[in-house]
Amino acid sequence: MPAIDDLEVIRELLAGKPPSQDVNDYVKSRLTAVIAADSDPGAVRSPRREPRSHRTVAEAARRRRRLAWRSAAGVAALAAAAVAVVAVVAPVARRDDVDTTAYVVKRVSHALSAAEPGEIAQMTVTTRGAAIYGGKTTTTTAEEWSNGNQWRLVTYSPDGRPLYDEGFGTSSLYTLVSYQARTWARQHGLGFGPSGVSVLPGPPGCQLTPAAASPLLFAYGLPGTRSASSSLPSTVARDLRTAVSCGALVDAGRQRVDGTEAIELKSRPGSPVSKTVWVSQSTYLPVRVVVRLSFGKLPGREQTADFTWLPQTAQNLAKLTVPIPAGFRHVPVSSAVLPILQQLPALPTMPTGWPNKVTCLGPDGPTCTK
Amino acid sequence: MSGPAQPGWQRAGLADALGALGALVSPAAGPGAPGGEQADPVSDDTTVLAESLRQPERFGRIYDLHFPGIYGYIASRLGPDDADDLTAETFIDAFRRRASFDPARGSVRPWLFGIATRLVAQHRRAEARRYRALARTPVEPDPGGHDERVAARVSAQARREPLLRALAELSDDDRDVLLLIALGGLSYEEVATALSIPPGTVASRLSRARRKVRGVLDTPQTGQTGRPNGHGASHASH
Repeated sequence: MPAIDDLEVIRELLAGKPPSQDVNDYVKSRLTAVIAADSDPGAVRSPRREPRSHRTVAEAARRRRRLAWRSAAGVAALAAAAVAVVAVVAPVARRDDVDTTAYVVKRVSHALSAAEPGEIAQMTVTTRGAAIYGGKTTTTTAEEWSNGNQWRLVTYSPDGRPLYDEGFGTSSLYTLVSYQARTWARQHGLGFGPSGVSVLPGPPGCQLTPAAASPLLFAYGLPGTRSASSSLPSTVARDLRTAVSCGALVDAGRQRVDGTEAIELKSRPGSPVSKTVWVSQSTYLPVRVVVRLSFGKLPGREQTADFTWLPQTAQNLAKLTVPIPAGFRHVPVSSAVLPILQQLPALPTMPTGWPNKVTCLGPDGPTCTK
Repeated sequence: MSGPAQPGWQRAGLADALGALGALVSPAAGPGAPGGEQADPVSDDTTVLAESLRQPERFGRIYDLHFPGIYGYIASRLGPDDADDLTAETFIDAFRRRASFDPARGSVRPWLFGIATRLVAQHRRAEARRYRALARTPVEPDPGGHDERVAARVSAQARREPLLRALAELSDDDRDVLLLIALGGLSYEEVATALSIPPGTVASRLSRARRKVRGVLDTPQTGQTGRPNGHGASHASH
């Protein structure tokens, strides 16, 4: 038996993965902000840290958060080593937003990454000011659940009756139930492209696409019958993470959302799609998303999604399955889909330049163009 | 930027000089080199740090040189959840205190590790939690090693839990010395600089710590250097 090098054993025992680019960006952004503040004599200096050897870990974590909010006040003269996250956000953001945004973005992205495979995103989506059902401008609601590639969406009429229920389940089957026609249909090949291939892939390092940024995130109609898989509800966590990571959102302060202390992240002014995401201050998972879309002079639309993140219990997983009500008639998908689509208004025509102009803005405007 | 040697640089032993030369020839640090920051001559970061007093943005070069090593050291002790914030605080603290850096006492690297170690010291409970968590983590087999090496590793892995317990039970001072050498790859002199203690104290703390660890490993040590990749071996085997 060869001798064991105790130091090598310790190193192998404790060594972790090398830092990701995300970690590098985060650490660098914090340092860069401090360097920039030092370079700018007019900037407000971050307070020096106090000794904290007596503090508990929880206290330290809370203090870290508070420090992150307060630190890095001056960022006008960003150092040449500024990272992409800062560079994308900084030009329009207030100075003291930069470090805060980088910190929140990191936490939200990590939280969504962790939640995506393990937790079920439950959304109550309210759509206002748009012609959605029956050609009338009204307010409707939908309940959505998504977990991995599985998703389900139940759309209700203005008076609260279920109109249709569709979903994509574990057996890769798309299921649609029409409560109006009392029919149901099932078909392979619809419902989802498992890879979530973007219809309009963004440029490297900034994968935010019009589809990902648009209210299609909370699709109405019959998203399962479309090919724009990246816009399906099942990619909610991914799309939000993309939007957040891309730098399209800037910290706008703190608010209480239905009793939850939340951080508000807003898209920057001038964006064709206005998105506001509130994330929990404790979990950094989204609790509410509001999306406003306007196509030039065409009427705008606003959708609000309230999120609940559910553990994977049998009861919660059952919510991803579309139940077939007793007495409903089995029909081909086309027969189930057409009557519903006939009641939906056509989507507004995209104005010239859209979707080539995306919402991920650079220092001088929409730099992430195709 | 690599200027000529200046007075006040005390290190640059043969091994370091060779390492620096190798780094110039091959910019990528070898896989066995703890931290990737040794890819540049030691003298470089000292000069860069001095320059950063007039040009603060030059400190970014210090970050680029030492981020992998500092992050790896903190992450190994506290885990990745705390490592990013503490790594940031290490460099921010270093930036703010750069005017007090004395090149006569050593290079930038041990100075940064000293700051990192002081920050880690404020998270002792997190470190203990990490050791407990690691003790519960099943060991993944190493498919690609040499037979004897794998056998030795398996033998060591069988003692994983007691080894982690032994690490947790070391005094804070002894653990700092041991892990600065094992994880940070620092020499005796560098550890002395990092912790502001005499080299003799480093030696005694390391000797005490290794004795306890080796007691757990329960395997005769035959001239192991503690620096298996060869770099700076003489420092750690005293």
